[in-house]
Amino acid sequence: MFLGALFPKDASVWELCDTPPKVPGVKIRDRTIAFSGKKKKELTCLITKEVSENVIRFSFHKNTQVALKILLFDLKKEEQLQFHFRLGSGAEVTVDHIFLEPINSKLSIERKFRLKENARLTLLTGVFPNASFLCRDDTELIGEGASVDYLSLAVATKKNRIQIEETVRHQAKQTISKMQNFLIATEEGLLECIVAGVIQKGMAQSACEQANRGLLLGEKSSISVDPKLLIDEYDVKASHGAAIGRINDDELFYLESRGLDETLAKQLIVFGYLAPFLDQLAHAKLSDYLTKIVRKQVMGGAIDEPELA
Amino acid sequence: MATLEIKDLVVSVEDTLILQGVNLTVSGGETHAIMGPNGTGKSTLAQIVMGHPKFKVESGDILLDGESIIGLSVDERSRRGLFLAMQNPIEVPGVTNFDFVKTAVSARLKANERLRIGKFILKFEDAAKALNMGSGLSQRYLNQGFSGGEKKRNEILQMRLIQPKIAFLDEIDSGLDVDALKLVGDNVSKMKSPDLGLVLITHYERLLDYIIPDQVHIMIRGTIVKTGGRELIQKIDREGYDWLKAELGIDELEDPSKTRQYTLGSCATKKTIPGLR
Repeated sequence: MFLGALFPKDASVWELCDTPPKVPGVKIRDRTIAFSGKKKKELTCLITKEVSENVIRFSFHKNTQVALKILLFDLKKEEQLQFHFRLGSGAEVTVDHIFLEPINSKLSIERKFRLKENARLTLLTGVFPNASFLCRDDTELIGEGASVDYLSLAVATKKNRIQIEETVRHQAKQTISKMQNFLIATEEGLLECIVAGVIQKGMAQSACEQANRGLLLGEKSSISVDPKLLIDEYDVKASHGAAIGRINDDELFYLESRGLDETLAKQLIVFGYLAPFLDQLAHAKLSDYLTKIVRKQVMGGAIDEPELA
Repeated sequence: MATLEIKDLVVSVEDTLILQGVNLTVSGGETHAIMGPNGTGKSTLAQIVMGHPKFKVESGDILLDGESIIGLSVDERSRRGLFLAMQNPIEVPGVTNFDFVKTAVSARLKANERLRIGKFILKFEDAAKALNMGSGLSQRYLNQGFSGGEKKRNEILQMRLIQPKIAFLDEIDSGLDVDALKLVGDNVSKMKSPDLGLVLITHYERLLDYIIPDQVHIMIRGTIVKTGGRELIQKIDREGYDWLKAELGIDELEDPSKTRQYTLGSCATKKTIPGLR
């Protein structure tokens, strides 16, 4: 299995169906994986067909520092799978959450995030299921100074429909959310993204930023984005936007005018588009693997490895 | 020594004629300047030579070393030695400047050749230094966040490394301050050799103070109406183009491609009303 090569079994990697390894500061109780301790931990959790739970909880205690990779693949479930993340005060957590093929088209994912004061979550979500897929997120910033930095990349292939719904609720003062979505639809793929930032009355000096970019690579592909801001407070900073389009003829002309053929020029443009996401994946082998997956899904399997000479 | 021949070239975009019979021959070692008022087809000429797909060649031909390149793709034209330094270089986020130029240079290598990366790095650094581009240039994304002047200097850097046979520099002077203009001018002048033919498209005399042209062409309404030496530049700088329009009897309103015909009544007679559009 490829993941064996990517993540050799060691103390920081486990499949959810396994008895988790003994890692200092990690406990499992009542289907909750709890992290504690100020020493920064890097862990990888693999979730495959054998997962039996419908709700998987991750709890990060006060001031915990964790970099967690969660990879879902080969999932045969035909129902909803829920992930609950709770971040205690001052916790600093990075989650790379990657959905890889094969995943059952009838599976939907729901994720709930709850952050206490000064907790910081950096969430990187990669959606490459090569199937229809629904991912619904609800983030609550309940503590003053809590912040979430949200970066997603989703690829809709063939005739698949990918739905992404993201809601961030600012329920405390001085809370910050930054949401960036990079969306690619190939062939007849359909991608629908609803992004909502909700700032309640009294949650002064909060900031909510949304940016969405969509790239259409198929004649019959489609992307729709609905970026919403629901704000009931004056003293805030907020912005939202969406840009969807095909590869620009002038961009292609520029690259081709330097001797790059059309295929290579298109690949450069697409991978340039993906760079903000791939650059943030700290795991080099995973980044390379995802690059290959995306290349296959986006440019077609028949195309040779695009290589910058 | 390469030769580019443009013969009676007529070009349209969306059913409007942009070039109306252009003739121009450029050989290695020569420097040509093309000047003219806005919207007369100077940039179109450069883009059509490079093969921009939005333009349609109605008639005429473009030959490189005696062989027509009309049917060639943009990248093939580039690999055969043509280069266009663009008026508005495109930003490509996520692709580093170094990787892009390296790929462009590699695209020209023969099947059995391989880029010597160490040598190439040194060449890149030399070019960046000569153009005062700063040490972080190689890892910056292609033209992203570049100032107008940096973009233009980056075009010249690419030209230095790609080493074309015939290069069009389309308004390479716009967006450059006086010092940067001198820097670009000096760099381009140093590249002059029998292996490089240059076509400078510009509105201003100042670029031509640094890159001395052998011939100056004036383009009005999609065709070259006058060719001469440096004296033409000085005259245009002093007097603009009105003297030339008067000399040639050109009136903007009489441009047949811009005048629509209006039918008066329902009879079969059509009459053109001058000045109406």
